[in-house]
Amino acid sequence: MGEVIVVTSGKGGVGKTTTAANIGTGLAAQGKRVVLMDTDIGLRNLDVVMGLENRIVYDIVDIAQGHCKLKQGMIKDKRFPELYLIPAAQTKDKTAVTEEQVRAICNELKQEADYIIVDCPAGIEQGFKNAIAGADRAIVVTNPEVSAVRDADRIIGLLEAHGLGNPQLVLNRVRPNMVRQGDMMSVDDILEILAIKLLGVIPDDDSIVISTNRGEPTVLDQQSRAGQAYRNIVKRILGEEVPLMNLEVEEGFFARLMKLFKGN
Amino acid sequence: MGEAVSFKGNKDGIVLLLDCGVEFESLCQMIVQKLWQSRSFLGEHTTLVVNSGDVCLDGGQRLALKVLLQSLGHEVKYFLPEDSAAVLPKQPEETELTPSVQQAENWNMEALQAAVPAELADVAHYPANGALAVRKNVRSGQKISYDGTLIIFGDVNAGAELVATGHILVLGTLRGVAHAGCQGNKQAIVYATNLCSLQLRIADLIARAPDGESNERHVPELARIIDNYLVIEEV
Repeated sequence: MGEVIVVTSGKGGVGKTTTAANIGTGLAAQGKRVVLMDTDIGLRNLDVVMGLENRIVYDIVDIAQGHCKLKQGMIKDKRFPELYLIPAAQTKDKTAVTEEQVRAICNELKQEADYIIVDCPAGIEQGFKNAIAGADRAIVVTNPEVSAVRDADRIIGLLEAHGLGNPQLVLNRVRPNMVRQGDMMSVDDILEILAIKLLGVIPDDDSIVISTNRGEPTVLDQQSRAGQAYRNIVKRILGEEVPLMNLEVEEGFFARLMKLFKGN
Repeated sequence: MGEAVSFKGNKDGIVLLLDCGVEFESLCQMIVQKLWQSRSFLGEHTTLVVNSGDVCLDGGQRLALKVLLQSLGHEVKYFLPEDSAAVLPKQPEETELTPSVQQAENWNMEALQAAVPAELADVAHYPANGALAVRKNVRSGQKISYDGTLIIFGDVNAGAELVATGHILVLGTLRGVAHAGCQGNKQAIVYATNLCSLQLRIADLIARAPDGESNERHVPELARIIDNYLVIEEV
């Protein structure tokens, strides 16, 4: 019996899709059977991030309305044999599926897969309700910005109201030097407000933009720091105890030399 | 040792014995629980002596306890051990702190349920003398309205709203909007162990935090109306 994990945030643009893609791919890389499900109907992105856009024939609306079989709607990933994607429909809207339909799909997927990662749309309306309908647990993604934290707080409240208590937090796009200068909220500041368990902290990393554009999840990039952070998150989901990684970037020889000259 | 909160009798009446090894906020929570469990034994409007053992409660804690006990329908006779340093600073008059709404007699559980939004359905309530105790963090977008005194054990985050006809006590950080005495009771107070609200309302007065300052001070503060001005002071 698999587990359905919904990735949500309230605010848009904080990295839900990136997080869903990386966690899903990371779990698959650990040999798990994973299905990624995009519920952002009308604004589908997960297929692009996964680099599977060209393979879409059927989508979640087709599955929900019985136009195709579940197996037909599952796109096989090009990297891992046991990773699948159910894309959202692009030409419909959030009302095209119901909560019951999503729940039914999740329950069917749970029979086959170890993990079903649901990418939730931004907002708190029907799309959000659809996304969480079949979920067993939730991951809340936020950025170290007041607006994103406020929305995360709202979402945590709504999740609790829907029986998804104790969600876990992924803090995305943290810039350690800004935190050090007091220009950005620290991990502790955010945890004090949200008061939920921390699943991981992802440093702000240019490699995310590159990998997203290429359709290659960062989690597979051994050089990327964000990739390392996602690999740690995957291990934590699998029950391993992994300490938070040091977010400080190692200074290069040249930077140290400059510092020496400046006399600090 | 046993429980952190227990009762004892002495010549002055019933003594509430507190073990101050416990964090103050959890202690308050246990007091509410204990008083509710012992409501048949205690009866209503009982005068209690509060004995905190070897530890001397500070002024803020004393005031918080006093308001807490009053909102549950009891009075504090005096505190033990006696505070050498002094009395509670600028402590409001006894009468001022009495909740305006007394609805203990015809308590209606259904009305209480209706006051709590479905999102917070699992809150613990102690329907003693018109007080509602919510044991949970109140998050952005959640609103609790209550006809009586509202006690929150937890944080109230920015974007959350508390509205009560009586007092509002937050044993935690208050970042959201609180409106005490919403039907015009100017005796109502707002107390928080860490008051960081951007806006406070009591009766028909509104106070807002100064622009540009957002430092959490982590000191218990009390807001009330003095001479028709909303005053916030450290306790």
